[in-house]
Amino acid sequence: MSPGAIPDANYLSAIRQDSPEDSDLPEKCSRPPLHLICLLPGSPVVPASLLTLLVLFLALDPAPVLAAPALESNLSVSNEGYFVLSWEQPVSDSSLRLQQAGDPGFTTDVEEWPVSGASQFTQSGLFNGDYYFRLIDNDGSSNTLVIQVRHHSLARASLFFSLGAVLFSILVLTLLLGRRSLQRGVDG
Amino acid sequence: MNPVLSPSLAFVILIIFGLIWVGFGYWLGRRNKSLSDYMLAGRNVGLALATATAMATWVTSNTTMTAPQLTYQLGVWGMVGYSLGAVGLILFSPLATRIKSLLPQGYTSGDFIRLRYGKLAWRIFLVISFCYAFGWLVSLGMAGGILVNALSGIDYRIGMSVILIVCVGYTLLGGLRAVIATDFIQTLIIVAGVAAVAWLVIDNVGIESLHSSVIERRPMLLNLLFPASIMFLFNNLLFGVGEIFHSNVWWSRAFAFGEGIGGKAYLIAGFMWLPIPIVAGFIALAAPALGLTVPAADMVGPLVAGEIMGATGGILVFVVIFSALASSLDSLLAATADLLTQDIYRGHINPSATDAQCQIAGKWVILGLGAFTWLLCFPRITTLASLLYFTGAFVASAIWPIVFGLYFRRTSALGASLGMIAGSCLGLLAYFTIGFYVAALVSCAVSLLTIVTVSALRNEDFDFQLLENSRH
Repeated sequence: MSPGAIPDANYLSAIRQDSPEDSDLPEKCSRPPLHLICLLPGSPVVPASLLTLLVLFLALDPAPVLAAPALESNLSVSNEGYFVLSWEQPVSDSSLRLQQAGDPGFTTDVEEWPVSGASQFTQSGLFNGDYYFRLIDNDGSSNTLVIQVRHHSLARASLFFSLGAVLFSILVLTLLLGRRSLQRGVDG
Repeated sequence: MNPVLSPSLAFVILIIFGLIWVGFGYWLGRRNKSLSDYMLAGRNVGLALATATAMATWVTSNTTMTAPQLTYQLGVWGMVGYSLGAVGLILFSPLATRIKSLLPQGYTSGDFIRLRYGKLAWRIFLVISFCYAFGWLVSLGMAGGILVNALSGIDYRIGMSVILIVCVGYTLLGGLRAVIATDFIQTLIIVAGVAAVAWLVIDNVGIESLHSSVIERRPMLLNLLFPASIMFLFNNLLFGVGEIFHSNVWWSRAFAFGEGIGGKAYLIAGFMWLPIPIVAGFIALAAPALGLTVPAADMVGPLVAGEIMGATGGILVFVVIFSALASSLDSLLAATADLLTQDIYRGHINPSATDAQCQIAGKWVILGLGAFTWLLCFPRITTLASLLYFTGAFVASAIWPIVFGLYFRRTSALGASLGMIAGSCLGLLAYFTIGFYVAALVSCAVSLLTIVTVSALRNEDFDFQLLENSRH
């Protein structure tokens, strides 16, 4: 299906039948969620126009399956290139992995770490840019988190570096002067 | 992320080392006859022991665990910046000689501030000293728990509790004499162990593989224009200087070392300490090559070592870091207890206390300090580096009051007090608004400006003979 095409109800019905995530829904819950009821062809619950909008929404922006735990971070913008990602540790999920990518579709610069048994991950050493993270396991993926890395400017860094160098020089000079004045028998 | 040591093996190591240190502390403590013996090891420590204790105390969990953390966060400049902590020891060398000659019968750094600047500056200084001492104590206790947890999976709180109990035990029994003697043995273990770990990392991962992985996955770590790490360089140097110049850990040693020993001991210890954070920090760069999942940056050192060397490496790292932890924790317990006993108990609560009463009070203080540290460590509230550098805002403000106060008679008491207050406040502001890596820098700059300005305006004149003639 090309982007922007409006799917019909039969197509969605086919998606439901083909989708491995949804195919076992009747066994998982006795009453399907509301959005699935709305999608049933000829459902009396909602008018046809609303049904079409919902169909469009579902087809163009399918919601992720939140099987993996929700991903959080201690900050959204990092000035140092390091940050901590955290999530609630699942009871047991040996397939849990953390993915990093350079785009929200997770197609470029993808890296992956096994994080089974962990509940946080510290990333570091990144260049300026936007980095996308999500947790995945055999049942699906978590929310996608975007962290912006924006390093301090070199001008600001140089200012602090210079201040430190000046203070250190004054300290050494003071100690030398103090020692010299003692050798001369004069307390400044 | 399976632990490299079984919990039972980790417990066995903890118990064996714990019993050795506590037994040794008890054996050494039998020779303590007076308050001076207990608090200052008889004031006659020789060069070998003096150098070893200075070096071992400065090789802490913060060297063996925070150096890898800072390398993992701030790259090569983080590693080099941490090693600049050696400058504090080197620059304290002339101060140690001056301190011993000015206050031959002194007990604590508080004695000097009280006699030199009066009660206002003394109380401000004590607040700074205790903020720092508790920050460092908590970071050491936390490091113990993190180490045990990372290597064996034993609950953080259990590991932290066991290590605290062991250190409190032998410090209580043996006083500074036990602290210094155990430091000597711990130094040998630390130097040999850290060198072995670094060699095994290079041997197993290889320099080329390590370099290419970092370039590919953590490029900023090898970037010499990494802004935060450039800002960190002098901050860490000044933080280290502030820690050593103000802390009673180093002053009590200056009093305890024999005549003419302090200057040489601190100089040699500084140069011997310099490469240790580089070696310890270096192993963190192996994390990307190993594809390690690093939950918290302060766990990266033990995790890399455990990953590469398995159970044997785990035991090695465990013993090294346990030694590093113990060598600092005991020193800090003893020095902080001295400060509390001498400056709070004798200085504020019971001015007519005898030496015998102070010795008993000192033991209770060590016990109380251990319990208080345990309470603060129990909820693991932050990372080691964040906690440690929080105290940087306080200690860097004390650099100039100490240096100017030791050498220059025109240094104003009011200037020293205001310098410490203004430096601490603005340092904390920088910590929260910019980052932990500039707190000490800002504090030091503000303190310098304040003390110089006020001293120039007030033109006070102090007679150093008052220090030499005073009884403490």
